[in-house]
Amino acid sequence: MTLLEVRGLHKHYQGSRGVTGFLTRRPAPVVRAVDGVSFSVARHEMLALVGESGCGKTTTAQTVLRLLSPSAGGISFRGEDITELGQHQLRPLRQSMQIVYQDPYEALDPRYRVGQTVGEPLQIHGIGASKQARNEIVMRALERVELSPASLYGGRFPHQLSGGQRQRAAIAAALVVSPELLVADEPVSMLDVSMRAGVMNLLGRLCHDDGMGVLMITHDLALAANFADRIAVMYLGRLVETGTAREVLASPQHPYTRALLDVTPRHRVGNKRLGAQILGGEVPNAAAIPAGCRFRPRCPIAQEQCAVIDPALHVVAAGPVPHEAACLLAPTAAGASADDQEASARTDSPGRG
Amino acid sequence: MLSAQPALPVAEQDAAADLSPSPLRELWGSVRGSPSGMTGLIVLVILILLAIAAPLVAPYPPNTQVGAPFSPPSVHHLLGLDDGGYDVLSLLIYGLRVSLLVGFAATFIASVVGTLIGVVAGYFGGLVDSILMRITDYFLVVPLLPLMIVVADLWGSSLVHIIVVIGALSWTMTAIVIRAQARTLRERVFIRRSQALGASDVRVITRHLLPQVMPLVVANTVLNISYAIFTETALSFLGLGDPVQVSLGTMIEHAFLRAAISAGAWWAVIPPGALVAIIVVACSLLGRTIEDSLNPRLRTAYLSVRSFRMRSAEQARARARQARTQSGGGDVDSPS
Amino acid sequence: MTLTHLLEVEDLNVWFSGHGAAEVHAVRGVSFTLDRQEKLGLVGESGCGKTTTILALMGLLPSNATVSGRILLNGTDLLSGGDRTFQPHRWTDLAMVFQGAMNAFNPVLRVGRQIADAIHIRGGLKRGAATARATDLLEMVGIPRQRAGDYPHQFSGGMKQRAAIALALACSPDILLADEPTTALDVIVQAQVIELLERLCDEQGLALVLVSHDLPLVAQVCERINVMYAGRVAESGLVTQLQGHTAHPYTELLFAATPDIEGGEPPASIPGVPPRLDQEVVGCSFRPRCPSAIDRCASEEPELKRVGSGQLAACHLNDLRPPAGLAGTPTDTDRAGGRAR
Repeated sequence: MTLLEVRGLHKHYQGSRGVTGFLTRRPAPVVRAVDGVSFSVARHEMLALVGESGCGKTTTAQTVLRLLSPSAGGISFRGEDITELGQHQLRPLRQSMQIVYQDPYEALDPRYRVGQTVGEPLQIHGIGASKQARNEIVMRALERVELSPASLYGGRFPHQLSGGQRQRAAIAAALVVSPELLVADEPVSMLDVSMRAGVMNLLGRLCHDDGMGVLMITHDLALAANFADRIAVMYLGRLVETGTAREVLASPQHPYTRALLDVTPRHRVGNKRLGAQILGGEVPNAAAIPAGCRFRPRCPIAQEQCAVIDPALHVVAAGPVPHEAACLLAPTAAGASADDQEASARTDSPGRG
Repeated sequence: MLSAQPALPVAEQDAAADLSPSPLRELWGSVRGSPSGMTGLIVLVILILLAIAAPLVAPYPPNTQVGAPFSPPSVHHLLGLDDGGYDVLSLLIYGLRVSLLVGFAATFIASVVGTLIGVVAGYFGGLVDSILMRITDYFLVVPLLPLMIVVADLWGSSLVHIIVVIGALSWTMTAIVIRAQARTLRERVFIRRSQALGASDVRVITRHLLPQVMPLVVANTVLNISYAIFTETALSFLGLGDPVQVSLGTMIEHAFLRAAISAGAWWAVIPPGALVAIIVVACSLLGRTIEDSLNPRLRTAYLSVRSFRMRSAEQARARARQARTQSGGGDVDSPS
Repeated sequence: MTLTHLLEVEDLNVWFSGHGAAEVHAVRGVSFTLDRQEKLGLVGESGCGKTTTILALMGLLPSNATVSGRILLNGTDLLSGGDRTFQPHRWTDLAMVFQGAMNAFNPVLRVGRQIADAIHIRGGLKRGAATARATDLLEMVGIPRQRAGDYPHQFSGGMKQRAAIALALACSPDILLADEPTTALDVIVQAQVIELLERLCDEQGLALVLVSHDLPLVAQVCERINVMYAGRVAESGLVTQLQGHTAHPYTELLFAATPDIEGGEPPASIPGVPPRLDQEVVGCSFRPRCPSAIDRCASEEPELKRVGSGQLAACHLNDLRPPAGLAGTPTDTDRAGGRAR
């Protein structure tokens, strides 16, 4: 069952044009952090949103949770449209949508014991009839994240725990309210390698065994390859490729995905992909998005039409989870007509400058 | 060796580490470690105790003539007598009381109002921030002396009036400083997390933001106290002080008006001034120490080219042996 | 080994003293060698002492540090006279690219000017020549000449890192020490910077010591890797040897913990945490987390011993099994079956 559905999400920021800009009547720059993103997350499923910094993945995550207001587009949670809801109406929903942040060293208030921090959401949402009942929920959550014995860890301060343990505590604090959707923003990138798998396995269990939907934001394609069910690759505010993890990695259809794969070091040195090359250039400013395909300036296979047409995601291989790519040079799935392609190209670019 | 379920080894039970890392406790730790900070603190504490115990400590009652005016210091009157024949030492102690009272009271008002406005403006931002900051700007430009003159003219000058005027004008700096801090703290992850959980703003501010802001409030308060006391002294010297109460400022005022200097009676002029100076310096030492401890960037950088020490290999081995026997064999089973 | 190594580190120990607390023994008897144009990787997790080790090589430890051991640069012991002996060699023979080098630039001076300053002061060139060389260096690292007059904030993260590399190469050193040079960068920019480092080291004939927590990345760049744990070298060997047949449980677990994009076995955590460095450790410091520990590991600290041609490891288990590949390079069977235990 679909838990979260995002349709055509946009988040734009108005830059300031300064005094000189005002005097010369220059238009204010618009930073298109998220520029038309659509995806869904179902129960028992982990979707990895993969991209480099500046691609808009964190902004997407925050907008989806309505910590930010979208500039355009729609967000549905459990079938209910939450795009326009006010913060007051969203508060009860916050129980069901939780977030785990990247920095475990800052995520917990250093003044409070772990047990108190984990128990805070219960106080906020009025869960648990008595102090004892709340305590039990806290203990159960700590056990669930393998901070065992829970009574011992509950009495500790954050500075007495390692990074991995702190991140588990942060996850426990998210679990106490029994969320259905968990957004994990780079959950392990600040942890030592030896602790990452443990935390990721925990997230995997919560997802596949306990039925939560997990939206994982990461820049690490190898991490997504090993733990996520589906992958969505993001570049400069748009999704450029989506599909099951296995398929996206086995046959990447978008040159950016291929570029990311090329630079991911392999365990077996020398096992590089055929034709592997390091992509040149850097990600352009989100305030000055290139015309046509936004990846064109760096694309190794760009052609003339790429400067004119802004490709939308089209199906490359149909299936229960379709493999889609936003590249004019990627093959189209048999049965998808050319008209469908053009139509989607138009609808997905509202108000493009 | 390891069970199938990865039981994560527990951090070693460290007594010191088991205390809540309260920012105020850390502050106290750094003050305790600083000689200048402790000096300032001790001096202030002594003066406060002196002021509280004034009736017990002062040798003579203040506004009572006990001898000829401008009598020089003697065994009975360690600091001599002033223009009215009152014992200067007793006056000093009672005057200290009044000055400290004004200082603390005015600063209390300034700190409370300033912190409140600063936190609200910094945390909420946007329109609330703009409005509060414009109000702050307005109060910032009101000049102290003319205001006090007007107040004294309209409602008379009393201690309460002075306290209110000083308090009403000195909260602005506190507000500005606290607002800046609140704006930075607002971005810290554990605060954003609480918001994402659905915590109300009141909860986030009181439980998470305010404790982090407290050390800066303390530093600001201490420095404000010295400002308030000095300002009261100046106002009293200019004749705007409470005519009934004697404060350190009024002591200097009387000495000045009654030509104590031409009478050669330095003991009527210098002691009150010196005492004010001591209070200001003590507050500054303490306040500066607190400020320094808040700003880790003021400490010297890590990567500077300074000499590290050398140790020979034999010394190293000896040290290792010593450390091993000391820690009772070094418990490898309790990693942190 | 009759040839002198370019750099030889013997029994390096570093202690840090805190206020009143016990000393932290951050580096515990580290020894290794570096030859001309060799690329050595120093891999380990946070707190293992790798950054402290290379700061010691540069003589950039703070005044609360105490050092013992020898650092021989072309035969001269740099540690014999403290800062005095380091100063003539710093930047001209040994140069470093620091962690977070993007923040190492003075924000109010132009980038080209800062590099030219370094050349002028340490390299002894006149201002004009120094400025010209600075622009050349920037071009060498892929920054166009006209950008030399920009301020640091006008550079992107990747460009600042390249500029930091240019700064390190200013006085043509023989050894480049790179401390996590790519950690704060995006993956593609990371690859670009790493490729630049490799190319420059090859072109200029530099030796490289690359410090990182990213094992696959280091394996890609370096020929030889030292795996560090709790202030000591746990294992040292050629990349091919380590991938084929690890001789220390930590190395093996570290490989197993790193996700591989090609699938294979899912990554596994190493339970537990590293030991506290403010206490001396009896026995092997990895024992609490080791799945194969034996009795001897609790009482006796393992020494770094040869387990193969050019492979060293500090583990008692190697004494039990005859080390494979002693006769030479590892065989194909070693490479295939080495990781399964």
